[in-house]
Amino acid sequence: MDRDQFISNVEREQEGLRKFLLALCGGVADEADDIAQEALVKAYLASGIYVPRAKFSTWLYRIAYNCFIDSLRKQSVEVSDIDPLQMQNCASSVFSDDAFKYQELYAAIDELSPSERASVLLFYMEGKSVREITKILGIPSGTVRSQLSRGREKLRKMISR
Amino acid sequence: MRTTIDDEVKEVFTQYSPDLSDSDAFMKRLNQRLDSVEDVRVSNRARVRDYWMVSFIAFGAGAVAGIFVLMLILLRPASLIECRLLVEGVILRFFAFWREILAMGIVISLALIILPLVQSYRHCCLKERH
Repeated sequence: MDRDQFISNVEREQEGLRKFLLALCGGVADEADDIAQEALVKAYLASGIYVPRAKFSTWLYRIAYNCFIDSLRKQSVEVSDIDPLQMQNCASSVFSDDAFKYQELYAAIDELSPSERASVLLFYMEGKSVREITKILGIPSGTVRSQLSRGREKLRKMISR
Repeated sequence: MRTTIDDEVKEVFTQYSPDLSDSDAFMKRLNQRLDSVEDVRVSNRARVRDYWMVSFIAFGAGAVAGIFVLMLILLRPASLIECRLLVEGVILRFFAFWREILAMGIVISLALIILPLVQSYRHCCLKERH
């Protein structure tokens, strides 16, 4: 896959991917965009080994999800070094107005584990099949189904509130 | 029951349409990053190519110099003996006695000395270029 092909594929997928990452990041737009950029650069570097047998979007979402998990790991290390008061001041500036619009949804999504969150978002928001989700998250289909069931239950509680 | 919950959850996500940052700006930023990636790739490829070329030149030069010295010692022992007679030094006698081993040592040393010399020269050239 050459650069032009890669860019045209990315232009087709970027909006959905960014929306998915934004929901995963709980509405923190800057963080979601940074993860998307990192994922796309990684995808470009690996585009030489991309097998067209796999769907481009599935492959891209898998890389993006792994980048998201990496960023969570980094955050958990960094957060311990930050003053809580400083973090509170910071949080108010990074959340966009849009995040407040969907704050209930983000709060509900935040209740889920990263893997459950990704399963629910991919299934309900992106309309991916269970088979595709197994490929993206690298977990068995049974686990995806149970994660969807748990996620659905938690979201139902939020909806009924 | 499950279908109803499914529909409710789907409905929540159907209504979810956050304001994403400008797509053109996002793609422009991505293209800039990909340009940087390409620059690094090109420079890495050039470095690997230069490394192989320098290694090949160093090996060739070392081998040629080594063979020359070896031939000089093996084909002209009389000159060495003459020299020995002239100088009458202990070191030279030692050299004449151990000439084959010394020749091998010189071959290896030349190969080992020329390689870092050419590498250093290459580094100086790279520093000047940047």
